[in-house]
Amino acid sequence: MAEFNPMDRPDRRRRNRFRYRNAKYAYCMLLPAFLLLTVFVIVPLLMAVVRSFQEYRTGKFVWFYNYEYVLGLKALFKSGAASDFLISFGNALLFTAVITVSMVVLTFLFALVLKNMNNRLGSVAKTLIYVPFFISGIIASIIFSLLTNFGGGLINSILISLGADPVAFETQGILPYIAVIVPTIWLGFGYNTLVMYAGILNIPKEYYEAASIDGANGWRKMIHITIPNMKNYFVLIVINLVTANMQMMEVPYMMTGGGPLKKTLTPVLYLFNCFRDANRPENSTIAGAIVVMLFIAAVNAFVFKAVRSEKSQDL
Amino acid sequence: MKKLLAIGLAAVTSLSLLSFAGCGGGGGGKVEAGATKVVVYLQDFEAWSNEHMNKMIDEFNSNLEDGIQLEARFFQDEAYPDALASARESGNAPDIFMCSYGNLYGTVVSHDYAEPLNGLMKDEYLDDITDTVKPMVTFGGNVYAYPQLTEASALLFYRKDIFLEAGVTEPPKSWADLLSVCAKIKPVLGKGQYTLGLPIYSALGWATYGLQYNAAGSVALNDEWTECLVDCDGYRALAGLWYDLYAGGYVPAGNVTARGYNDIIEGLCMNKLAMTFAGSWSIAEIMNSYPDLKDKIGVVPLPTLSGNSGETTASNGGWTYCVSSASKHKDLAAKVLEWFFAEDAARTARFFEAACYSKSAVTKSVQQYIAENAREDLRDWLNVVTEVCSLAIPEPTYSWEISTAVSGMLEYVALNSNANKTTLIEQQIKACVSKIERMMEQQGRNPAYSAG
Repeated sequence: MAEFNPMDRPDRRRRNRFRYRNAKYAYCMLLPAFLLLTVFVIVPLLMAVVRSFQEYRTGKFVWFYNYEYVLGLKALFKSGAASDFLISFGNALLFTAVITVSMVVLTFLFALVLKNMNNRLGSVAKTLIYVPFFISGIIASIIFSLLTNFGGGLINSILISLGADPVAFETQGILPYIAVIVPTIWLGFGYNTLVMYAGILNIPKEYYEAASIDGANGWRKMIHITIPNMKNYFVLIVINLVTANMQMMEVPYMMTGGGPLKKTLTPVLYLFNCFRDANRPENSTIAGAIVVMLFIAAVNAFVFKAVRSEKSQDL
Repeated sequence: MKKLLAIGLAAVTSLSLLSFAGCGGGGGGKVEAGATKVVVYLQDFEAWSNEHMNKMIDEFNSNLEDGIQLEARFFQDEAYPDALASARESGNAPDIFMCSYGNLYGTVVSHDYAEPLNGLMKDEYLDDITDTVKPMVTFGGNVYAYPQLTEASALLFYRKDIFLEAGVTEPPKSWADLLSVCAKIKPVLGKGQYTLGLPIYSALGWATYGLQYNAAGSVALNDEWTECLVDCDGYRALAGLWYDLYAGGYVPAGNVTARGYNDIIEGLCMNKLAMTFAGSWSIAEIMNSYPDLKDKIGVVPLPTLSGNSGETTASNGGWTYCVSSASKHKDLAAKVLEWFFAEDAARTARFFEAACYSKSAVTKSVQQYIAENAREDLRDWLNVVTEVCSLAIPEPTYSWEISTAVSGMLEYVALNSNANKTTLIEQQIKACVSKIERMMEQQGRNPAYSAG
């Protein structure tokens, strides 16, 4: 018996014509997005790359001068002294590691709590934790400054009224790190919890029922069912957090100004300061921004590789 | 209906654009027929300062026979450089614009954005600029900007009532005096009160130029930017002072006020500080916001390393006005500058009166006018500001990272004042020099020095 071939059908030409026409329409519909992407992303990126090799005023090609200016590799190899830009990368990596790990653990645990709350209480909790997501980093920092301010913050007012000495969140010990990390976690906590919550709800109940029949306790269900099924959500959240935290600027700018002694200086904050300093080569800011972009892309590639996401079996 | 909607939308858009651009405008009232419009870009300052400037612009425009209609546009400090750059790039550079002393060479003269005033303004007006300030606006023999004012970066403000309570009879003159006064004051203060307010964070980079010069006879680099001068006894003494002040627990660990050093005087007025370093602009803040405290507050120059008076203890910051090289009406723009700052000392002096003499005049004629006509109740403070500004150095124009290398050294010493003093200071001097030398390689020689 001959195999069925859809192309042998009498309406073949008519179907192909429609297929061709659909493709044309699809390309037409993609065109605006492609044009916008070209005008606002690809062309500026290429221009930025070219400018990073040029002197700002004359347009003369200085090749890697701007990159050397921000990275300071010669001095690093010569005397071991890292430039502020390199120091800021170390800080950003530290913040990213602490914030990412804390956020994943906290939001996962809170999503589990949400799942077990009754509907009414759960809705109130979801709304409350989501509110900070609408607040900008600048506003969040102002709110936290009202708590932590050395001169008149709520925490220090309470300490003074209790007869204790006030603490300087901007300078003392590990407090500057806390002053940056806590508002950042607060800002992203709601969104990431809801993503985790959606992931947990997406796990088929049958898995847990089958595990219960086999005698698995709550801990074993979490280890062998919940966490493996949440893998793609973990990847999504980790990638988002790594990208966002490597570009962190508003919170350290507002809370600590990058201090003390550049301990909370981040790469984007460094570039912001660099841009505002008339005595630095203008295009070194662009070179630094490209280095940050490449670094984030490399870190993300590493994260993708390390925590491989799995395609849905429905696809 | 559609037409109405379109008009409404256009009106809303125009209003929004105006508000985004931060445009305000002086120059209300009658418009001079056939007059040439001269545009000036101004930076927004304190309310009293903006109010004074608007009054002056209205007064200028009330003359309907000079052939000039002055149009002022005010911009917030962050938006000002962007507005100026956009105007230049689009071929609409203002005829007159403001520039700080520190940015004059790097962002204006080296880019040929300003027209030399020699030939545009009368020589007698250029010669009227004081000897301290003239080099700050002169490059290659040409005067590129007419100065408006100078401000001392640091004075010592103190509470007379707390001094009295602690048995301190006079303000400190030397760094050793400062430490001994701090030791006397500390025991009489309560929780949340501190002996001495100092600049911290970025302000530590610029508010200590004067003390650096006082201790070392120079700032971090020589004038040509070919030699780092930090590895000397003067910088060691300065680091030692910072160490002792923090080790003694005299200085608050953080900012006592919202805007740090800029409004640190509020800490003194609100009884959180017994003494504080603060810029001369703080005098206007006291007179405007805390006039009742005027008699309880004393103002003197910062103590010096040697204890001698008549030495440099501050740097001069402040503002100048340039005529755009792209202006089509340079001669008229120069006339505007003459009217505002040069031809009538009494008229120019009104600004300093409004500022409660918290800023120093920069021309000999205005200084003389103020000396003869100043308010008696502010004469002591005026004398201090005038003296400190006349001895102050210009802010260095080398890379800001060099200034932060020095401030980083002081900050490190302050935050580690439980470590061995000598070892700590030696380590930090070495680290600071290493960092500055790296920056020197990157920035090259001082272009302004080569220019003259």
